[in-house]
Amino acid sequence: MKRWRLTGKIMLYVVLSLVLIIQLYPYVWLILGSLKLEEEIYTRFLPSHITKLTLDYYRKVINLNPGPFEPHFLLALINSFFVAGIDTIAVILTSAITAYALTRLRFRGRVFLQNFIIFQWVFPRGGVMIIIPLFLLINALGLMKTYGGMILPFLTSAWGVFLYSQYFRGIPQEIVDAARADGASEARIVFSIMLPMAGSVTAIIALFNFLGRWNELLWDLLVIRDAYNKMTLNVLVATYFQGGMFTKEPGVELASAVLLTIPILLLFFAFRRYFVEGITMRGMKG
Amino acid sequence: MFIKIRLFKSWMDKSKKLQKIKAKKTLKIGLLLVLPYIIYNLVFWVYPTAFAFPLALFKWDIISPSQFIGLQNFMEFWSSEEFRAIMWNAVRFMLIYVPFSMGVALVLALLFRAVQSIQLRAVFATVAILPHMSSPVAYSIIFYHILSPRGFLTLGLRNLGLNPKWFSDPWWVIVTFVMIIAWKSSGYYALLFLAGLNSISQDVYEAAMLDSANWWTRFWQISIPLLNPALVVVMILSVQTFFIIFSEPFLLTGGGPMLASNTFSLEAFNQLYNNLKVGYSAAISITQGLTTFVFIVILKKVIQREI
Repeated sequence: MKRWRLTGKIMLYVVLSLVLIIQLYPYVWLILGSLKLEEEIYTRFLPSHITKLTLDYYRKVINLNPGPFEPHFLLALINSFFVAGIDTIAVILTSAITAYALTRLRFRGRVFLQNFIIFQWVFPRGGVMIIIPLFLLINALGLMKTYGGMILPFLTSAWGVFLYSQYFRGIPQEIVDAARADGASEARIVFSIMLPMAGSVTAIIALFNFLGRWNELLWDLLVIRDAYNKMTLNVLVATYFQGGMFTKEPGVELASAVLLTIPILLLFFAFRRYFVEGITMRGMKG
Repeated sequence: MFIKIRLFKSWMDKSKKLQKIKAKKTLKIGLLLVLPYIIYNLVFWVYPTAFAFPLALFKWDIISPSQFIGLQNFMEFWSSEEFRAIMWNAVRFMLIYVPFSMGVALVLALLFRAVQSIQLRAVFATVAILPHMSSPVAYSIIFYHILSPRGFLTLGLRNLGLNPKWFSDPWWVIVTFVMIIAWKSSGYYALLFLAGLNSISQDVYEAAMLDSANWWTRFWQISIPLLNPALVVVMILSVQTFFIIFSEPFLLTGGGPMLASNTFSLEAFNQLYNNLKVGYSAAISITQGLTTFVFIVILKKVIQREI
């Protein structure tokens, strides 16, 4: 019986390690591939077979002054941070304020708004149905090929409002009353009392929104078209991969994919606790 | 005495008045605070959502004036070769993907649960959702190269007597996409299952153990029925997958070969981006929404009847 238990345990860890390898293999392959000589990218995998590692591809990717037919990956990286950063900050602010009003203040139409937000959550903005009219709207506002066109449609999040509401409901009313008695304005209560208390929820909302925005392709592609200087990294790497105006090299493709993945990996391992927590919260919908 | 009562009354009135003023104030402030959210979402959510269907009734290329054509866009799309291909792809993809990814995720969740050490479990859980968080562009590029005909995996399988055609055969392409997307999502689904499993009270299992139910019966009689909410959530997510994917077919195949990896999103995007057929692509996206809805309703019925 005991021996069976032990074999079972060993089997369990063998299978789980296998799963781990399958999940991490593409990343290892990517990083190795971006360092290998072009003729060895596909054929040599074992370390002993690789003749030479090179940083050439990275030199091309991290180039401050690329030539006219070379993509400017660094600029795109900054664009990505800019677009995803602004949207994330906006989502945090709008979600916190709205959630505070919904949970702590009475006003006409509150229940209606609550239901509306839940409805929105079930039919997310990412749906293609909404994208085409939204595209026309952005076009009519004259925001095609601009940062505004990429940023504007993602300033609020029903999921964010929902998570904050859940959290704010748990904060004792006495704290709010005490702050009001001290003459704090409602906005001040949100930003200097509620938000600092909801640190982990803020982290979860910020992380998921940032990564969701970082990984967005369809919308940015529609809006930005051929404005190469304003492309986010995701769009530029996709455009480069598709060929077209750039002459492409497999090594540079892989190195640019590394550039696209590194910020995600850093965020992921720095805040891994929040990711697992957030995933389970996300799953509660449906 | 009377004076006291009167005083009390007037105090009550005053405080009521004060409360009313206060209530009015919070009413105003409350509205003021939610106003940005409301106005923003009226413009960027309600308006586009409401506009999607009417838009599909027009023939419009943005440049020249629009023309009302009724349901002609729908008729044109529904009778097109693309539509038939996409529906066929949806069915093929779901038939393989839904059972495969849910099965893998369930097994993974049970394995994670069997790990005793909390730290180790956290490591597995973290790595499990890493692919889900990755950029579709990045992993599409990775898989494009890993599965290249010159690649190590293709040559290895060829040496074993197989002939993997990854992206160049109408059936292979579906299997390849299922594998890539299952690689991405199974860990995520597994964590949702794990949360569901953890929420089942241990008492139920102990009671079953007292009745000397073995692992298998415990799994089928307790875990699965009590996991129903998580099962429904994961099922909806996995059914939605085909209707949402865009980046993968856009980058890896462009919908080919012979439309075998075309999706609604890709078709709508191409019609809008390349041909500026606004009304037509709106018709595609509405068809997509309706089809997703129908599939989810049917499958939800099936799953709820089974359990």
